[in-house]
Amino acid sequence: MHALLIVDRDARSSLSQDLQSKVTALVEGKGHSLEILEVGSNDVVPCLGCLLCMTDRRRHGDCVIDDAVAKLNRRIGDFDLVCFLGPIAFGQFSSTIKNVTDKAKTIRMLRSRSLIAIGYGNDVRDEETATFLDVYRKHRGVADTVHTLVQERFEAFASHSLADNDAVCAELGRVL
Amino acid sequence: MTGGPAGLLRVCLVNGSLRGPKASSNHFLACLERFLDPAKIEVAHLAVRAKLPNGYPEETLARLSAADAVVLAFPLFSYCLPGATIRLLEEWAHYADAHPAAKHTRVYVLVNCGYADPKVNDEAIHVVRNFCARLGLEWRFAIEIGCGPAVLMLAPIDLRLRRALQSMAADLQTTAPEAKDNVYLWPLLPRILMDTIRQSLDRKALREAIRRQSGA
Repeated sequence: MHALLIVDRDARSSLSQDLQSKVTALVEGKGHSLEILEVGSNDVVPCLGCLLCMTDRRRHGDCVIDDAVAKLNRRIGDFDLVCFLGPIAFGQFSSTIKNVTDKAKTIRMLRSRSLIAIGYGNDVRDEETATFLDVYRKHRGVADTVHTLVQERFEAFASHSLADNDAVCAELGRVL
Repeated sequence: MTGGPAGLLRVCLVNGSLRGPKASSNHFLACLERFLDPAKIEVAHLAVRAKLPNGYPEETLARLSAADAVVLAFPLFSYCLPGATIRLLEEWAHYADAHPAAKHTRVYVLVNCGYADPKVNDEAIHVVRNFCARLGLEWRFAIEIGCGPAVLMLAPIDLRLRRALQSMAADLQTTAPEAKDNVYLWPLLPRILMDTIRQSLDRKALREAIRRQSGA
């Protein structure tokens, strides 16, 4: 299995670095190949909502803006698993990773498709964690929101501490 | 409420869509504004931006922080707020941390999604409520709209939309203490029609993905 880990370069903390290294070790320990994509807040232009990627035949599904996600989308079909790792902001991914999830064309992962959302933050409140898990778990199966025809696995985890990181990786190990 | 110049209530209408004036969110805000009394309310229009190498101008964040009420209008992206909208809230939160104020700004939401069922918007509302709890803002209520463009298309004859916007406008101009229940608006068009359009777009995207994969 070929996995991709997308991380927020601008939101590094001891918690996120510990989580990233543990997830990396876990995925590679299972014998999967892993690529890490670090994105910063100015690497991805937010989705404009123009829908030209869906409605303009000449675009062949491509975004009108050639940013880091557009480059990723050209080869996203090579991956079997995409894991989004980013800070939680009020109960959803903060803007940098959210811009990636808004634009990533996971529908192109036709070989097999597993999506994982891992949110983190030292001061995340319980209600925010519950909302974060709801956003991804409640709608799993139609997680690729635009393209509901393809069922997919979408798992969500949240970590508030280094101890949580171990628990997240233990659960993740059962999923992988 | 403290009020702005001449005792006017300061209300910020925030277009959380990057489609700008063409956005459904912007049209819903315009519909709401028709019910606001200019003799009582001073309206400021704000909009999210795509490229922010240095973040939002301090003036924008100060205006949000000083408002008596903020109406956030945005489209639903992946069951929550679009990246551009959450960026504005992040920066507002940072600004509020650095400039604490005893203000109890009232917050309203107008959210629309591509699904016929407006309850799909619920998680996005939870995100905004969490944001309000963090900043000590006063959550009021949301109008959750299923298939925004379809609702807008029939807006002249949609009395439920009119009543919902009127109730938001009335609430903006009062000091009622309790938050109200969210209002759900389904499109007047038959659901089967909405689902057919949506599935047609889904199939088209899937065909395109398969074509790309096979290198055809």
